[in-house]
Order: sequence, then C-alpha cells, then structure tokens
Amino acid sequence: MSVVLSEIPVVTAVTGLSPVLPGGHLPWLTGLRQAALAAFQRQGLPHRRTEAFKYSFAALGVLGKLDFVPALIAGDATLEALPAALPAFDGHKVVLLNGSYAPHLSDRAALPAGVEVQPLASLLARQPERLEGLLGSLVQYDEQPFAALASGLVDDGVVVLLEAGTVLDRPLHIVAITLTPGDAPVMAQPRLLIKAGAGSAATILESHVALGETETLSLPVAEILVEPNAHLTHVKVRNDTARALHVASRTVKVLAGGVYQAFALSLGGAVARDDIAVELAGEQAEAHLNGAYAARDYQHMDTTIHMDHAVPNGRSSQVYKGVLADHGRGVFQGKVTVRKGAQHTDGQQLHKALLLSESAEVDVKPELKIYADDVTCSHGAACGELDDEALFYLRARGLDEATARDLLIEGFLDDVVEQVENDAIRTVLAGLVRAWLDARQEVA
Amino acid sequence: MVATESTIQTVKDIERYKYGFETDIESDRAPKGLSEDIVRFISAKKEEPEWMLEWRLKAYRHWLTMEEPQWASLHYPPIDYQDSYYYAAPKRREDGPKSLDEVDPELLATYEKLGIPLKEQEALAGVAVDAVFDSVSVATTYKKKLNDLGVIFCSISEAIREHPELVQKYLGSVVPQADNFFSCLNSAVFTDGSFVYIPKGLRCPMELSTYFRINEKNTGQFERTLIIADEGAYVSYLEGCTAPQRDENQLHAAVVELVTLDDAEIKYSTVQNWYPGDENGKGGIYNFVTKRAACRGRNSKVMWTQVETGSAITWKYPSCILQGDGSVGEFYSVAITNNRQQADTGTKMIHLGKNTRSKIISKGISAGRSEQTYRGQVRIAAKASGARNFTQCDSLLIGDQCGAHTVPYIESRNPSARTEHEATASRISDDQLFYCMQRGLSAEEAVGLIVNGFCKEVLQTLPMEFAVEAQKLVNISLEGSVG
Amino acid sequence: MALIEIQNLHASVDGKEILKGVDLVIEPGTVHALMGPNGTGKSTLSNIISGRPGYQVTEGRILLNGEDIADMEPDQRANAGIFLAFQYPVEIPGVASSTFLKAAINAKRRFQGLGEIDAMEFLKLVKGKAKELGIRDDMLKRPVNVGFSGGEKKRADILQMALLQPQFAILDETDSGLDIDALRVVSEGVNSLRTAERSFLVITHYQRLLSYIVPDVVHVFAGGKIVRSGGPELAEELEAKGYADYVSAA
Repeated sequence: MSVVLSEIPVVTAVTGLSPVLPGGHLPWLTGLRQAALAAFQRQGLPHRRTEAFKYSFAALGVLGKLDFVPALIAGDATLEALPAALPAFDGHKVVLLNGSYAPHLSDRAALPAGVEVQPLASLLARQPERLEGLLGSLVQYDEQPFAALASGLVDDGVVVLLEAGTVLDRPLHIVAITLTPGDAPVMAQPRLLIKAGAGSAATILESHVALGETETLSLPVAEILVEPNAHLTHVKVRNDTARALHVASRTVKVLAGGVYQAFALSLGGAVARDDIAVELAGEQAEAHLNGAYAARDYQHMDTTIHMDHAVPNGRSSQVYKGVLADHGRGVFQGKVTVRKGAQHTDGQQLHKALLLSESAEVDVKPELKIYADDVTCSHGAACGELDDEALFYLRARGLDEATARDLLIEGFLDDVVEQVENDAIRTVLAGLVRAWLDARQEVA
Repeated sequence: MVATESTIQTVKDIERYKYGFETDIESDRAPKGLSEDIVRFISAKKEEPEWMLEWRLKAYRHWLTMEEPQWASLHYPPIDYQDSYYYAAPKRREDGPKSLDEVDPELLATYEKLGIPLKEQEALAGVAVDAVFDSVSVATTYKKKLNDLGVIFCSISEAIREHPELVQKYLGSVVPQADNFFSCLNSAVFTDGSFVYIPKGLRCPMELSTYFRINEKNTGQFERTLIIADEGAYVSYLEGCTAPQRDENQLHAAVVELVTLDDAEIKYSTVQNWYPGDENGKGGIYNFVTKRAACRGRNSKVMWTQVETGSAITWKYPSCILQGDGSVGEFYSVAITNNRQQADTGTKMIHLGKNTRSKIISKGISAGRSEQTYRGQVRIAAKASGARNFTQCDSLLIGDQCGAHTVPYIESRNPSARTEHEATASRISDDQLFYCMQRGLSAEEAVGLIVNGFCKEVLQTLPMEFAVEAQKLVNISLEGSVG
Repeated sequence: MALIEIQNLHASVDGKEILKGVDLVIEPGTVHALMGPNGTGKSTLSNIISGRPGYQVTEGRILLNGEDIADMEPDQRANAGIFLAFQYPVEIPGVASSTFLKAAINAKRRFQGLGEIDAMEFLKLVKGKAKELGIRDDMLKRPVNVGFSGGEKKRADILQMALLQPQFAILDETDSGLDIDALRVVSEGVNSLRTAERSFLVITHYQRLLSYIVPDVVHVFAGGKIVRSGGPELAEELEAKGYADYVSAA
C-alpha cells in the first residue's frame, strides 16, 4: 500500500478525537469506537488489490489527499431552513446537520404511540443501557472499512425504535445535510439505527444532501434490524452538490417472516458509494433492493450489495438501473450468497445500464456464491444504448430527437421508481429524475 | 520419438554447458528441482538454438521475482516448486505393457465405458509399438498429406528447430512471458506442445489432434502450443482425450497461443480428464493453464470449446482479444467437478476493434463436495463501437455439499456496445428425475440424461467423435454422485 | 390372478393422512375409471402406485401380478410394467424426445435381458408409431415436453405408452386442458392399446372422456377411499347428480 494511514489527515483526526468524545464513561462505547478504529487501521484505505473496491479505489483516492476535518471540531454549521434540493414532505421529520441532531429543523410532534425517534446523542446521555449491545452490533467492520472509520467517532444520529405491532401512520423523513462551516472541507458520519419490532410496519425516507461549493465527506452508517414479521420500507435519496463525497455503509438483518423493501436514488456528487449488506437470518425473510442512479460530468457512483441467505426459504431481489452520461462512471457489484442448508432460497438480481456517451463507463460484477442445491437463483446484467426502434417510433409521432431520448431515458429509470409504493415519495422521486434530465437539456 | 542417439550427439556438441549436478546424459530425466541449470539442460535435450535458451532464461529469471496468484477461489497446500521433475524423456514404447492384458483392468473398464476403440486403447495404455503399427502408419500418412498442402503440424520443439522465423515472430506475442506466474514458469521449462501453421486461404481438410503425436508425446506437464492461421485459413484442433490420464508429476502449467489473421478461423476443442485424485482429492493433478487467442485480423474468429472433468484443481481462462474489426470470439464450456475437485475457470473477452462479437456459454456441474467457480471478464474498450456480447452461465448443483459460484466482470466503455449476461443456479428437479425413472431409467441413467441435456448446447459444438465420447465422459464423471 | 390388487391402502403426506383404506382389484384386460371431486387423493393414489418419493404408506399393500411392490424403486416398477401418464408432464431441456425414448426402450430391453435396440430399428419403430398417432417427426427432435401444448404433451405420453408396452397404465387427468379433437386423438390412441393383458386406470372427474374410453368398471373416490363401484352407467349418474352425496357421506 502506498498510502501511509498516519499521514492521512482525516484518519489522524479521527484517531485523535475518538478517545475524547462524549460517552467516555461508557466502557462499551469506548470499546466499540476503539475496536472500530482498529478494524479500519487493519484494512486501511482501499487500494489496487482490494477486491471489494476494485472499480472505485482510484476515485476514492482523493480521501487520502484532502484535509477533511471531522464535523465535531470543524465548528457549527448554520442552516436556517431546509434547502430546496430536498424532497418536500409534511409530517415526521428528523434532521441531522453534519451528523448532529438539528432540533429547529425537525418535527417529531405527531409521532404515534409505540414509535420512538430519538437523537442518538440524547439517548446515549440519558438511557445508554438501551443501546448497549445494539449500537454497532450489525456493522461488518472487516468488510466495510468506512463504516469502521465512521464508527470510531460515533456520537450522534437518529435512533428509530418501533414497538411490536406498531404501524407508523405516515413516512418518517430522516434528513442528513452536509455543509462545510468554515474553509476546511468537513467530514460527517450521520448515524442511523432502526429497530422494527415484531409485526411492526413503517416507511422511512432517508435523504442526503451535501451543500456548498467545497468538498465535503459524508460517511453515513445505517444499522437496521427487521424483527419477525415486521415490514420496513426504506427509501434513500441522495442529491449532492458537485464536490461532495459520500461513502455509505448499511447493514440490515431480517428475521423470520420479516420484509425489507428498499429503494435508492442516487444523483449528483463527485464520488458516491452505497455499501449494503443484508442478512436474511430467519426463515421466510424477504429483502428487495431496487435502485436508480444517473451520473454525468465526471461523477462516480458505486453500488455494492451483499445479499446473504443464511437459512432456508428466503426470498430476495435486486433491480438496479443506471444512466451514464458524459464521463460518468457507474459500478454495480451485487453478490448473492446462499449458505449451505439455505434450501428453497429464491434470489434474483438484475442490473441494466444505459451509456449515453463515448466517455461513459459502467463496470458490473454480479456474483453468485451458492452452497445449497434446492434453490432458484439467477442474475442478469445488460448494458447498451437506447433502442433505435423505440426512438424512431417516438420521432415518427412528432417528438424531436432530444425529447424522444429524454423520454426513453426517463422511462428506463422510472421503471424502477414505479416500484416504490408510497405515492407521495414516488412522485418526488420521479420529479427528481425529471429535474436531472431537464438540467442536462439546459447544458446541451 | 526423441531417439537417444541424437541426444548424446547434441550434448557432445554443447559440452560447454556445465551442470550443477552429476548427470548421466543418457538418463531419462533430470533430478528434481528447478534452477537455471535445469533450464539449460532442458534446452540442450531439445537441441534448441541459442535464442531459444535465452528466451527461456529470461522467463526463468523473471519468474523468480513473481508471486503465485491468490485471488482464485482455490485452496491447496503450498506447492514446492523444487519438489518436481522438470524434464523426463518420453517413455519408450519398448518398456510399456506388451498387450492390454497387462493393463490395469479398471483403466480398461473406463475405456470401455467411454467407447474408445481397441486400437486407441492400446495406444493410450502405452502398449508396445508393433502392436499399434496401424496408428503409427496412419499418423505418418496424414502428416505427408498435410505437408503437401503447406500445413505445418509438428511438435513445438521441431518447430523451434525447423521454423524459427515463425516461432520467433509469434511465440510469446499473445501470452507474454510475464503475463502471469504460471505462464512465466511455462516459458522457462516447457518441454512439449504442438505447433501449427495453416497457410493463406487453406481450409485444413482434417481435424488436427494431439493423438497423432502420441508416440512422441511427453506427459504434457508443461505444454506450449502455438497455432497460427494465416489469412483466410481454417483449422479445427483437438486437444486431450476422454481417457483418464495419470501423471506422477502433479503440476501442469500449459500455455496455448492462437493467432488468427484476416478472415481466418481457429476452432480449438479440449477434453480434459486428468486424474482428479481420490475421493479426498489427494494426489490429483493441478492444472494451471493460460490459453489466449489474438484475433488480429478483420473478421477473424476463434472458438474455444472445453469439457473439463478431471484434475484436482483447474485454473484456466481461455480468452480472446478481439482486435480485428468484425472479429468474433466464442467460448463454450462444460466443467464437472465431483468428490473434492476444485475448479476456477472461465474466459475473458476483450473487445478492442469495431463491431466485434463474443459469446460465452458456460455450464458448470458441481457434485460431491466439490467447488466450482465461473470467472469471466467481458471488457469493451472505449473505441469498440458496435460490440456485442452474450453470456449465459448456468450452474447445476447435485447434492447439498457442493458449491457453485459465478464471478463475472462486465466492463463497458462504449455506448453503442451491448452486453447481456445471465446466470442461473439450480439442481435436477425431483419432477424431472421421477419422470425419467417412471419411464424405466435408473436414477443414475436419469441424471446422465438430464445433465447431458443441460450441457447440450456446449457438447454440440464439439467435433463429432469428440462429442460422442464427451457425452459418455459426462456420465462417468457423475458416477456415485446420486443417491 | 389379478393384475393389480390394492389392499387397505393407507398413506400420508407430511403426517396428514390422505388415503384412508383403498381397496381395488384390477383384472387384466380391463379399464377402470376413478372419479371424484378434487383434492380427495386420486393423484396421490397414482403417485404412490408409481413410487413417487414424498409419500408414506402407513398400512396396506399394492400387488402387481401377486408381487408386493413396496420395496421397488420407480424405475423398477416401470420396468415391471407400470406406466403413469402425468397430469402435468415436466420439461427436460436439451434432451431430445427421440433420445429419451431410445433410453427408455433400452432400459426396458435390458430388464428383459435383451441387447440395445438397433438404431435403424428404433427409427422405424418410433416413426411408425408416431405417424399412427399424428405426431410429426420434428416433434421427436424437440426436447422432452419443452414448449409442447397440452395436447402435444398427452400425445407424447401415448407414444411412450405405445413404445414401452406397459401392463398397467394410469392416466392421471388425461383430459384436463384438451379440446374435443385432441381428446379424440388421445382416446383413439389409448383404445388402440387395449388388449386382453393390459389394463388401464383412468382418473378423471368429467364423464366426457369416458364416452370415448369406455370403462368396464367405474369407481367413486371420496374422502381418501373408494366408496362405490359400478358399471359405465355409474359415470352418467355422477354426471347428472354430481358428487355431493358421496362427499357428505365420507
């Protein structure tokens, strides 16, 4: 490895800060932070031989070069109102600014009984025993180095606890905003911990927005536990400004009969990676991960998924679609593991990419590791351009070429967006796709 | 066969080579171990010119700086490269069994099951020359005919001596010495292999098979093959055979380079049934092969077909570099692993020219406690407009103790290129099994039939006689896997 | 001696008893119809006779020519002369129908101590029978049941029957999914195979098929056993009155 960890400012900063964070009187918390940091140091920043980052280590190389300053010492950012770039929603809202809870922007008043949404720092201060053994328990430190780095500083975020049988009436909107307070580029690690109790149901919309003209680094870490027969719908939207870096790690554990339905829309930013590890740990568990991403200019977007079928009768699917324009680069690594004995697993995966320019690139690695024989598993990956027949059809109906192309591209992505059940959220997502296309048209 | 007389003569001519060990040049093999001296020894035995020895030494010196690859999903105890023989003279027929009566009956039973004709059985079992007089004369007749057509088909050693310009032009041009650890080793110590050159415009009238050279063949431990199809030429080449092959040398690292010029086509078929080891995988052959085709010419085409059922460990990725505009690369593979075999195999299709096409059909069958991985790469370069790739990988798992994995890398940089990849994993359904049994087929027969159906798309690309034998081989390879 | 004798057969699937004491005697050269509402165990009976795994016989026995078949594997029962025409024949990709037929014929010949069938003889035999049944040559080249219509699948089964010459053939809901023309062709095929030695068990819940394949004996199957037996007129009675009486009694 050519990069020496001790010379990377952000790593040094994290290593220095970690021991002096709030919660130092909780041995389990300090232990967690130290172990996490040690795990990061074992792996270091990804390099040429790091298989999991094969297609992204170069784009992430910038992490070793810039002086990112952890938000805790960067000073407070001020934000009066939610930015326009965010999906607008009425209802339950929790906002994190550079990873810290922003009460003046949040609204938790109308939460129904049985639904607890707490800032992490607050819970750690008042009732830390509720988090012991839960916080940090799902993260795969040796597979997700950035989750390990972020966990070295874990101090604030959002904790969502749904009591057994509770149904959340309206979507909960969790917003993570990254904004550089001063001159130095800031690093934040918004933390999300969700525990959906047995038989509960909820829809959560997680929005990430990086603002400003300078580089920012967001290392979100989400730990999600779906207990037996719970149903969790989780939509993530990322819409960053041009210099933003975003490396998100998510670990989900679904217990017997539980359903985890996820969608991710990825737009903007400079480099973004969604690292999602799902374990179907109980029988009849289900996980469906859909996503759409659109990269232009020199944007780099990486989705890396590991779907782990640990026991029999699990069902999973992954459907992701990407549009790459200009010098955009898309990476999709979807791995499905079926462990020995995980019979009657149904695991499906599909990735489709549309390349719109000669400089765009897409790298796809759909992987299957199968150790049980009575399974139905398949994966598909297709990459190509817009269909000439379809283009001609539209033009023959009077649409000009640019409009026709945009319509087809929109249709291509909307195909996955349509899978989102919540009408309001779906409308917002479709709107964002449309806005992305319009913005391109203006430049063109 | 390499006669002893000429070897002694050669050594007398090159007495300036000093050996680091006491040797009797008449001995059949060099002592165990690998060193520069062994490389020189091999080169001398092969009566090679100076430039060839230099080429080998360059590879050997580079190999010393290389590390064995660890990325494949293979687990094996570390190989002691010094604990192997790197040269052994071809076995003399006079020392072999006098007739099939002296051959291991189990081996004969396998030949029977594979439907191998008696005469071929004799050749395979190493029965003495005069008993296979027919095969020798058959081979000689063909060689004459080929010579008349301008086809060069001989051992690589003969080519180095007789056709140095061709060898120098193409050897190492498709698989550079330093390409990988095993190709580098091979470049230093290869001892056998085929050289084929098909002249412009000629469609080679017969399938070329290593069988024709069986009398001069070594055990094939480090084979080096080079096939060149000049403009407009066509050749179909068969490598290996369905008969189980044993070898006291555990490590096999072959290199095969194919070159097609404008409008030329090479069809390369392999059936591999090297000794897979016992039920615990002990003692089987390790087969690390680098095979690559450079489709340099416009509209040139290379088709790789393989049926891999043997070896304890298989590591091979026959690939095509589609340089010429309109060039086509195809890869058809059936890999069967049983007991404790491990295979990490696949292909690379690199699209460089315009309007290139590639097709990959991979059928993997895992049984017993074996592990099989398909590892493939399809790369579309930025300038490779109009490229088309279609990949289908299917895995069939027999029993719940084996593993079947698929690791494809699909990298596309051109917007007008289209890639399509599909992979499935399944098993033989109870319904299919019961249906066949209800029609009177035993469980094993049923599995054989269904598995052959599963592999059909690949098996039908093999030349006819190979295909029939391959089907039988598929059945035999799955013996004991059901029930 | 009876060809098939089923004595007090009780059987379960996953611990649930489906067959509750089936008694049935089938003499050689006879056609028996088994009729009854859905879900009563008719298919279970045919699956158990042919030896499909997944069922537990808890009591009783099945005799073929006086021999208890309990310990015989499905292929042994097939070679001994039992044929099951499936309700939903499964597809076997990549295996040409003619290849499959040859393998099945050879399996039977091996059982009978004969050598493998000669290639030319096989072709002649298969094409001849196929023609009689209105099966085109190209269907023989297609993989077993892949892309076959309902009628084509049933015809393929009749062809297999004609080639394998079973002693006892069970037709499991052969008429499901067939239009009148296909029904006629299938029935003609079955009728042409009726001999003094061969018997059929036709499982159906519509009387329609039985107008073409006229049975010697009709049984009503309800509640996991045979509750009434009679001549062909019983089928017409069921057509008119339905199964209600038998279901409530069961």
